[in-house]
Amino acid sequence: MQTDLKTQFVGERNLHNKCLAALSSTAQSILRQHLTDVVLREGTVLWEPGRPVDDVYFPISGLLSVVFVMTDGACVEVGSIGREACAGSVLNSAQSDFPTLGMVLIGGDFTRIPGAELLRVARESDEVKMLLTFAGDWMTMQAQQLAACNAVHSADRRFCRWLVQSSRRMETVTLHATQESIASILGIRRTTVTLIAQTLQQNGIIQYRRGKVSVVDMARLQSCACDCLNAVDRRYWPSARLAEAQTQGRTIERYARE
Amino acid sequence: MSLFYFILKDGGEPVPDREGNEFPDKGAAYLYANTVAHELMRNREATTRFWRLEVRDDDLRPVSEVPFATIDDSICHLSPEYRRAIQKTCRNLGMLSDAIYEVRATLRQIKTTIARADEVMLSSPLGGHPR
Repeated sequence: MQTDLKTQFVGERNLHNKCLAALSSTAQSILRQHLTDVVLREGTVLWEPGRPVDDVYFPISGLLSVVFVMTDGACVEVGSIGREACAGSVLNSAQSDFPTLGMVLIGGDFTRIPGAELLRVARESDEVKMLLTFAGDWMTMQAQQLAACNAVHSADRRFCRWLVQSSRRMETVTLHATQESIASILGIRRTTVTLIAQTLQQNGIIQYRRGKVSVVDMARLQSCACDCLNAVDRRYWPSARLAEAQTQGRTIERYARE
Repeated sequence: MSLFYFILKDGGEPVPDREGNEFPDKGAAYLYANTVAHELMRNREATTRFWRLEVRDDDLRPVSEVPFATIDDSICHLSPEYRRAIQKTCRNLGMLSDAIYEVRATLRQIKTTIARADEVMLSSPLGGHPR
């Protein structure tokens, strides 16, 4: 069933959104007619406060960031979405004027579906309903973790945590992310990110070159990251929870009861 | 607007920000350095208290420096006398760290030079007897 999506949406690039791929072939075939492949560049704004967008995005090779925007324009990341989940203003903001902004942090391939269609399918398909529940849970968990992390952890540990988490979600040790964009989601100055990255580079942990950061020593990078790294790990990924539900034959009603 | 650069001195190899930022004057660059130092120090004050962030102008001449101990919020509750003592100790510790780093760097250079000299002697037609 996973091969169906790979072939249908990304040809031979051997990449897919793990969340969509975790669905049964029946659910995939229902969704397929509404899905469109798009390539989005870094910095593309998907939705912003007061301008909600109906579409929901499933990253294939890119990374989305949901940031909370302050009245003075400052912002900080409250959620990050890779191949393990999906994001859209219809899923992530209860109110259209809620001050969150969805943007492409790392450009790449995405699959898009109109939110209204996704919600309609969810009313008919128990699996898709579960997908939406897990995607919502994922955003809530991340927001809780990030609130605590931003309050008590140092900038260098947060940078390392972000790098490891993004690397895991995108399943690559090389990320195309500028220091400016990382600074904006961590809520710190670009110079602060540069000095942290430069220190890690001098210690042989990462390599940063022309907007491309590569993890050289993942074990040491993990040891430099804050504890949050293991608090919100892949057990909670919507894709992992969907796959687990599939193997155990669970339904959303059973989840609610448990 | 002028370009300013920032160099972090944390007791090891100096960490430079080679991109730099533009500011209207030295004062604005110093204020920015203050903010960056705060961000680098927050939630790890005890281990970064002796660090310094140096501001350099477009010609890489030092124009100012932010000693982290002077912006350490975690020692605000102490009396001015204690704070000054901590700041002085941190300054001395910073200078000592710089000196130790310089000595280590010099030793590394000497070892490299000796190794090269050995290579040259071995490859010379007369041969050689390195230590």
